[in-house]
Amino acid sequence: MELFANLATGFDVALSPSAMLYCLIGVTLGTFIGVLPGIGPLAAIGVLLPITFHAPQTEAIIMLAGIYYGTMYGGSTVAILLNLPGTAASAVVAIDGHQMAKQGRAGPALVMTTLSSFFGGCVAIIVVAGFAPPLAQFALRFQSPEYFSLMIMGLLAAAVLVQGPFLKGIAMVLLGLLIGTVGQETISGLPRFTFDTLYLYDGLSFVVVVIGLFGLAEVLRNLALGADREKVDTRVGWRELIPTKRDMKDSFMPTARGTGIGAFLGILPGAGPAIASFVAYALEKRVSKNRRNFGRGAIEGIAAPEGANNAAAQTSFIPTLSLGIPGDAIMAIMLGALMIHGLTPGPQIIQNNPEFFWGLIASFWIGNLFLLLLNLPFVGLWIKILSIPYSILFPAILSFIAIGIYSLYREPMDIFMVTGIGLVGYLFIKLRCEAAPLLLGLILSPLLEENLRRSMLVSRGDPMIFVERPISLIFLILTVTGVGLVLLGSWRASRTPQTEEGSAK
Amino acid sequence: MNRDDPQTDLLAAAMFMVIGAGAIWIALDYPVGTLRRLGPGALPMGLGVLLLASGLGLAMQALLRARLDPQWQGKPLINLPKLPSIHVIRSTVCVVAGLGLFGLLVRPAGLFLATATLVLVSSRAEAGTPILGSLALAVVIPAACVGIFVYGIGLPFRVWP
Amino acid sequence: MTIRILSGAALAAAMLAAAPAAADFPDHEITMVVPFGAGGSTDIVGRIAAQALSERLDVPVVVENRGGAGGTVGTQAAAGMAADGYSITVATTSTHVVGPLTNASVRYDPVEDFAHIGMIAETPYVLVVNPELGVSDVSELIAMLEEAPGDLNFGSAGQGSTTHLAGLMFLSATGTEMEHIPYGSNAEATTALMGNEVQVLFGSMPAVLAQIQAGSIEALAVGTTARSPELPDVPTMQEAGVAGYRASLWLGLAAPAGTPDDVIASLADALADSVADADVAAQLASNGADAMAMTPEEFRTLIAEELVTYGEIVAGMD
Repeated sequence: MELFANLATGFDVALSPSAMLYCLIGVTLGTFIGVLPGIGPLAAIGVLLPITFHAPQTEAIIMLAGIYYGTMYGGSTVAILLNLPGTAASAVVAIDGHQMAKQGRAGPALVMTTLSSFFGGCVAIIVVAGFAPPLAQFALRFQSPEYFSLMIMGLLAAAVLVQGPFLKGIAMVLLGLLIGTVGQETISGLPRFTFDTLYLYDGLSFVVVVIGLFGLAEVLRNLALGADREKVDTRVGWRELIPTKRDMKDSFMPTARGTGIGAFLGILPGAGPAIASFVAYALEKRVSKNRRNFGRGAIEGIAAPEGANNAAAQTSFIPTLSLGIPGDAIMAIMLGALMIHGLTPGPQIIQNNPEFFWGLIASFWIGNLFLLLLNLPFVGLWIKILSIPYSILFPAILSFIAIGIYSLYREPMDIFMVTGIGLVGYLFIKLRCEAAPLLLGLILSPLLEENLRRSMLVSRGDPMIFVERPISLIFLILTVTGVGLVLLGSWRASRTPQTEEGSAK
Repeated sequence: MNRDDPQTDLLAAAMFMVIGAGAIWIALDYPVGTLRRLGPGALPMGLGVLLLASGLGLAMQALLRARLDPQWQGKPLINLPKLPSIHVIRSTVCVVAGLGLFGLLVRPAGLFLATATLVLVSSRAEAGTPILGSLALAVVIPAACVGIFVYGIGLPFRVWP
Repeated sequence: MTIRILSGAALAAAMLAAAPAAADFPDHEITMVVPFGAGGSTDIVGRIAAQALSERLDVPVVVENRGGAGGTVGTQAAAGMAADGYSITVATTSTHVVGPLTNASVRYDPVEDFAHIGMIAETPYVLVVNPELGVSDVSELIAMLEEAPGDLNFGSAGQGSTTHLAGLMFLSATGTEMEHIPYGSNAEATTALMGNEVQVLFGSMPAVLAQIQAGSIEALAVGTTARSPELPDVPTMQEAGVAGYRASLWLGLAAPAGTPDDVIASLADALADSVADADVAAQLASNGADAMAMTPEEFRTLIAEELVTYGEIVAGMD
């Protein structure tokens, strides 16, 4: 019952008026900033960090956490409405979410993202509150070989995301990994695929790629369709704004499974949270009874990755807080903010600053609740965006893209780059190559390479290290089984082509 | 067009094979190292080979599918895409030119004029938009953007030249 | 893909009523480039210094994070800024010694292209080991290394990083061998040490202090010539028998070359006054850094000397 005593301590702190105010400011700012393309959690926190220097320590961290998941939520909103994802996770949500929006079901899609996020967040909070220290110890057993095998599994899961041939998905993952090697290599300092330009030394910015491949390519596609553009039905009443009973029933198990996957992967710094949405989506695509609708507006395709993403976002605080080790750039900033406020993260933080630790945990829950309350009334407003005529909407989207990208590094080359990548994205649409798997490849590329090279150094050149270590072996077995099932499925489908393709336009 | 269209798959396969081969060719200059000490060329080389192989596999799969499916009997499989229509060329050029001008102007001319130029040029993508409408958008949208990004979030941009 | 963080960080200082300093410098805000991302240990030390300076100079000192390539990107930019004293940069062992030695794309001269202002603090490198290794002091570690050369791994925050060089210095001073495993950051290397993927690490104090205090890793020696106040029981490397070993990460301030001498002098005075302040020292100490003062000349000489000692290590690297 220590858990409840601890949570009570936390709620004492988090329910204080000032903590709630900072939390509310954080999620509100985060949601509205997250809606702007190009401005993801990292940029938002970077911009807003100095504001928190003047707040009291607990409130400052609560506000940063609020900004963090507010931004993620705002990112999902714009990904669904306009197919403008800013992160890999929101690109997964956009696959089915944007299809739903086109079918006039943006309302249920948006409400479901909120509900699934809330559910995922709530479960993950209990995990964080109850098991943070042992989970952090478990995460330490993940060393280079385990990370490598985990990433291989995640990448193959991403390849399953696509409709059509599995090999196309694989090729897109490989392309993403290849693009991820552009730039100066970390160990030897050798510039790779830079074509002698200084601009490419730092590699391609993820945001530039995702905005180009999704947002800009979507604008080009819509304009090219001209009069044939899908008419979005926006004359919807209140009743159509909220998910139906059937939607809720269909989404429950996917959300629960997604949450489980996310909560587990979140504790593995770096690779884990990035993979979570992809693995959750891929799993649903295998197990859902509605799997044929995936990619055409299946609500399960939103529920599972959203639950996974938000659960992972919460549990990714575990290594940061209990070991004092940041998992990614965002956590590194959070950790820095802790230290600026005179808190030393590390194993002792729970004993030394219990009101801070548990206050933060409780504020996760309150932040999620605020998101829910804040966004339900806003759903109607967000949907109004879709009723703006496209001839007015698209110049505004282009302006947001241009300014959002330029705000990242104030580098005009990034604008030219996003334009070029947008054209490539349009080509991908024409060739029916879905871009989401490419994104995961791009994110994981440096991690995959580093962990592979380290594993080989540690094993002194023996590749058997990946099957000799039990955790690594489990991931490889899961990967091989998954790929086997997919190949079996497509072999069966190729023997009976008519049934599989009957419903396609 | 259905989604397992072998013609599209063949074109995609060709693209993957070209990129894979290109990556291998460039990566030949990078040291691959030893199994124990993998060099900077190891991953690009491996990825290039795998990409080439996937492209090949995809092409073979598409050819096999076409042979099994009566729908494709006797039809040409290599079908270069049609030239884009005037409408598509116009919209693409307007968007690309608008963004390009934004990139060129944003430093010297400031955020407002760069965004106004982007809106003015790109809104010509749609043949039906009246020029007055474009001009109106070119005032309203930049003003809103400046309001949101500069005064709302406080990004340190220069608004005017 | 490097993650570049840009924050329009504005550290609002208490703008007191006009209280002019001796000269008319400074009369408006000063920009301090931190060539690393927001929230990192260099950023924290930089912000502590910025706050202290703005209190003494009565103008805001605005921190601008320009990370990338081990701090050399931001330093490169800082070298080209206006030499009027309103642009200063945080200069560290990484940006002014190790970066220029190991990164071929660095185009600035760490001695000639800067007007050095002075030192803020020093953070020792700590020789830490995984407790499962079963060694309790440096001589036991050396004995183990001599028995099985090359069997143990030591981690670092990256190829050619200061932590890598601190390790190489140890190997050359003791004539032993270990396999070097590079990680992406101090934090990653520390995790790897706790997970026993590497057994030995020459970690920077801020990254390892909390883990040492929690007992999850064991400190054998510090690389500075004097014991660290945070770890008074841990001997220095020289006390532990490794003669001539000195490895620390220092953080100071520098301005672009050509900044007028009197401007440098008033900055140096304000900085020296800041690091002598007990509050500032305590803030630094809680982040694992020991406040340290140095005159502009001493600072310049130190950089020139370390370029030579580290240069020898780098020349011996494969």
